Amino acid sequence: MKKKFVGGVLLVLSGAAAPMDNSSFQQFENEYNLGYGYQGGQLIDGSQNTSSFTAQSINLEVERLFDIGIWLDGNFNMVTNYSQPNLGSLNGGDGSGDPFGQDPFMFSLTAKVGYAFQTADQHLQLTPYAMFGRTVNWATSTVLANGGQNLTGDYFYTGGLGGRISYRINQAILVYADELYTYNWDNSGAVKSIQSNPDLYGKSYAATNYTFTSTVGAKFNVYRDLQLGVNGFWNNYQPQSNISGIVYTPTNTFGGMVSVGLTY
Amino acid sequence: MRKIVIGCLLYVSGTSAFAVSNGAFQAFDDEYNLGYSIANTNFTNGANDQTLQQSQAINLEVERLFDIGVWMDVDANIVISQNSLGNQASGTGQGNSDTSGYPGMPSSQDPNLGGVNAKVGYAFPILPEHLQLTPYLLVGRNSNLAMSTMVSNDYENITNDYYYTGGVGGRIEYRINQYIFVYGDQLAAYNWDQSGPVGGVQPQNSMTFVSTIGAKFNVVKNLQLGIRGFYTNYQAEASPPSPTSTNNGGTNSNGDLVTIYQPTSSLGAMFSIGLTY
Repeated sequence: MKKKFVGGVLLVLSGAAAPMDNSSFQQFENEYNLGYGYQGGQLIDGSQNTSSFTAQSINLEVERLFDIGIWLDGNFNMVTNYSQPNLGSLNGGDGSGDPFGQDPFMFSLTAKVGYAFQTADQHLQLTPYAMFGRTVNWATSTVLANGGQNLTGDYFYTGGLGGRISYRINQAILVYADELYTYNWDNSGAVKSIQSNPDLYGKSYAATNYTFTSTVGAKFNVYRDLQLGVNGFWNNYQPQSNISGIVYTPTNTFGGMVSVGLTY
Repeated sequence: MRKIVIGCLLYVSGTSAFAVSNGAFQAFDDEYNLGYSIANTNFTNGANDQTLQQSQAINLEVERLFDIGVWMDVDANIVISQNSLGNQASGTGQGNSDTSGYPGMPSSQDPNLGGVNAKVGYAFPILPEHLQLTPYLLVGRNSNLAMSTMVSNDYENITNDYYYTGGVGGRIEYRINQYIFVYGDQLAAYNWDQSGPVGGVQPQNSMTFVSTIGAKFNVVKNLQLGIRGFYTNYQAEASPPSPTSTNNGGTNSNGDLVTIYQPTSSLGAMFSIGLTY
């Protein structure tokens, strides 16, 4: 049994070490695209009151699978429309006289870097990866907690680990599923300010949070270099500390994106 | 003379009609990169007070030169830092919005905090493998998050504060050798404000003239480094309006009536690291 196990490990390692032909996947993953996204999300405060928001965004993505198996994916996202009910002066919302809502992720630039392991038959690929980036933290509560200071100081450093499994059905269609675990490390200083104003914000709200993102999607190489894409995603947010204040924070979002791109 | 003109036109149209090998330029123009930029921007208000601001941004750019000569460049940017270099006491520095909840001014008078722009043109080879001329059109969406915009809109939803941007431009590129490539780019763009500011600030529409010179270096395999310098001249469609309580106007430390600041010019540079394909 021990020999079989060692043999199996060696087989996997040798497969990983030896360069494999990944041209079939490169036909899908050497691409860039412009996307439009729509999502709906749920907000919750410390009293378990809930609310919701919707957001639209545009996305620029660049992806590359190198010959040696390294996979790279850069992503720019900009929210172009945000809507939320008026949840009071600390939570903002559309029409409340506050410029922001409680979903803080208005702009982001992130990159994923991983290594693609694939089966010999050029159909299945598994890519563990690391993610890092910079995302703005423009929630009303953040901006107010910072006294309305310079917005460019309100951001997260974002880091995460994830995995993607891709299945190439044929030369025209590829489907994939992606799971990402992210830590959004607030650099706005809002936590300190919030903690110093417990009467306003409650005692345990923290802007720093964890995010679990699940995505399923498909790519279609429809004609020559033209690639169409579609995906659906679900985000689950976990604030670093318990929600007990009067500030709303996002808990879940569900959305989709369509994209038009070019392979190369 | 007439024959010469007609002959030249036929020559030019013939050049553009036939597909030409542009592989030498594709080695530089088929690329994407991540960039970091820094810029200093000048502002002036209705009382001719001036102030200076420094900003930093990060960019994601994708560029492609198709075999048939069509050229495309998509650029997305986020401003990651804005520092007012003016004097807050005299009214030329960032800060003191005197607005409840936003005393420190969340934004400045530079409206751009992020956007996406795309250029599409056609590359005419002037000297094969060395000189290329590309007239192009630009379309984009850019934020209009100037402080005066936010104040004038009573701090309403900021996702409504943006410009549609359209423009025409030209780029001339000179490929020195397989490793070095230089270019100059001139763009005239119109920023069509969609924020609908109230309080007499309209119109915030503006023209921007952007002059760029840059170089690309294909240093090893697919790795490409880039550097560029750019100068932007802003021409607001209207002069700053008379100050009211809602358009961020007021008096300076000398009691002079001043109005909102508008950007007039900006000078900056960008460094990038990218990959060709």
